[in-house]
Amino acid sequence: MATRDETLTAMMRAAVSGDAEAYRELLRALTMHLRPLARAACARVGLPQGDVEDMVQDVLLAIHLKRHTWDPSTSLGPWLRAIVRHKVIDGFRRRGRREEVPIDDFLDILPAEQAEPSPSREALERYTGALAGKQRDVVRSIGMNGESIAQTAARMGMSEGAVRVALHRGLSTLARLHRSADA
Amino acid sequence: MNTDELIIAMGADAEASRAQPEGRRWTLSLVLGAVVSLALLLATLKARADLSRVMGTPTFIFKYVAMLALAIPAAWLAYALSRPGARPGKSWAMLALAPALVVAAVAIELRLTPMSTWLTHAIGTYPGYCVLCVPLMSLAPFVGIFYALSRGAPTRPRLAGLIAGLAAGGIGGAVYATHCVDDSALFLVTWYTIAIGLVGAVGAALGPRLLRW
Repeated sequence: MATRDETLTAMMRAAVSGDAEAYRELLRALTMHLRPLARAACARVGLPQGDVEDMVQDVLLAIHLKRHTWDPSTSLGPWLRAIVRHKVIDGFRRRGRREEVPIDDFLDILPAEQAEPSPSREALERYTGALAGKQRDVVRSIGMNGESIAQTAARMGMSEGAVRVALHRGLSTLARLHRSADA
Repeated sequence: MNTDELIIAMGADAEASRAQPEGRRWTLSLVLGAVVSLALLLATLKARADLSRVMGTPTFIFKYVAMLALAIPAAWLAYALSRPGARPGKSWAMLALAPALVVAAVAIELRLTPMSTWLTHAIGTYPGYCVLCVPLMSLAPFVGIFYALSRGAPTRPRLAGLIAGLAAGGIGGAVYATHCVDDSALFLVTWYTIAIGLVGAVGAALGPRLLRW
């Protein structure tokens, strides 16, 4: 039987070769692991549970924007743990906490809640709300309304290339907003 | 936007934009930094006047060997440090290469030259110029390497900044060697070390600030 790491590595290999569905499936699976981790971490250092989803998104954005630093000939586990550790410590530091959180085994612990719904969007709106014009419209159109790049381009009267650029910049901006928020 | 929606957007982005391979980005940044720096030197300070005469001499060539023996392993380590979870491991030992070469060159020089000339050779003709110009010649490589690093994901930004500074200093030193008329290993071990150490210190200071992600 394949280990968790092997399964995730295979998904990520499919993802980097352009399989968007494999990639989304991987990110959803990781979210199931990240949420309990973030919840335990916040509880441990006395941060409000409202910060949990914020941390999860922060880590997901880092995984997404830095995925090119993973070498597909290696297994995903060490790369993933290093990213998660860095972002969790970084998130704590921004919130004035300096604790260490054990994350080495976070992939091995099976998530308790299998299909936990994503928390409501209101609490997270401050980031997308802070995006500027086109970036916000494109990120929302694709993320929230489920439109494709082509549909968004047609509806907004933009070229597909411009939509791609706005989407990518929007996600980079979101990561930066997370980074600069003093929560 | 909730997390599920964010994941939908990230999937669309992953499908639409493939990042260029990291290796190519690093090679380009390094080559471009070195070329700009060399062009700058040739345009301003210019190559030393007796270049054609000293071209084949061991002391002249050794300066390049020592500088590249530092720059290449340091650049390789910086590349490794930009990738989370990568373990540079044995590559760290490569950093000892340049110091070992320089110490050996100093030992040889001390055997071959009379003691009365040591101090003169160590101070050389233009020590201050060296300490000023090596960091200046390191500027373009420094920018290139920091750019490549910032596109990566260094989890130890201070260390990555230090190593990037040493790599840039090594390249800057190699470029400046084209102008520098002081060929003594005693000069090299003194002033080039100070100059490159400065660039490394700047890298370590800027790393945590510039390499956040």
